[in-house]
Amino acid sequence: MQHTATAAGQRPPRPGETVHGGCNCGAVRFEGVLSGRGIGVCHCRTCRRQASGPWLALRLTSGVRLSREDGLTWWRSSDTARRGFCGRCGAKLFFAPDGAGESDWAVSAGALDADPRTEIFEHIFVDAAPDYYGFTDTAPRRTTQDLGA
Amino acid sequence: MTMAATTTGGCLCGGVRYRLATAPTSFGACHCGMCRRFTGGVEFGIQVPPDGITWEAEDSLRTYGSSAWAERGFCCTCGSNPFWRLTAAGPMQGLMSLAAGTLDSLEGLTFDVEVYIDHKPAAYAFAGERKRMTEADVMAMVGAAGR
Repeated sequence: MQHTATAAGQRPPRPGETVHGGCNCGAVRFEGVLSGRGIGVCHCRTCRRQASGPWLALRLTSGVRLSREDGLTWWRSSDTARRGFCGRCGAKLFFAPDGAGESDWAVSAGALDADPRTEIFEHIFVDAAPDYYGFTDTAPRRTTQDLGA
Repeated sequence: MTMAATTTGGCLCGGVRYRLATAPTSFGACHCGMCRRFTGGVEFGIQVPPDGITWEAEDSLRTYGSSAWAERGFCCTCGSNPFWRLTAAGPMQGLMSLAAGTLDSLEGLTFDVEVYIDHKPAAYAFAGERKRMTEADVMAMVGAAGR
């Protein structure tokens, strides 16, 4: 079972609309209401080691509603958060801070079936980013110190 | 000034560790939908030939056949995405795009190519000038190598 991202002709979803997403093999599927906040980019070493490069994430105001979760696997990446991925195809899906609301997880932007019409609203942990790449947008750049982390 | 990149790397939990025969000097980004689902962001990869890598730990390494001609390697414990690898028969079989972020040090790497640029969502873009290839450009290159 394959789910191709952004099927030709599919209208980009807008904030407030229900979006669907999942991994490459289909063993994790979810849906939720797209937040208007946009995409946050994380440059921390943990994200970049796990995901090969910076992680692009967004939020669902409804939280994440899982419609299929037999592939969902969690790994505790720190004292304060877990990361969810598909244990069958390896797709990186969720970041779940401890104490966040039930299923109020950050979601991989790439996991959505259709790319939303949205923009980057912030970059975080930019002090951990190597200098070999840069983004063109002008969203705020926040350091570890700014984040109080 | 170019500092040599390291030849060692691995996943977050250490279940997958490797050593490269040669220190990499550059990496590329892939914007295709499958890479973006796999990594959650953009795939940053280093080209490694089949005999260019030695696995020093691989207990938690699993592969997923993501198409008829390629597979993707991941750590089943921590969800890191170490590689995409060409499985189709031909002169390029076994060629790997190794996840740049898994290297223990990224000093000295240059960002020299973006592929599947026509699949990139409008929401983000990388600054700077470099070679940018569409899906058709990539297919033409792979086809040319296969003849």
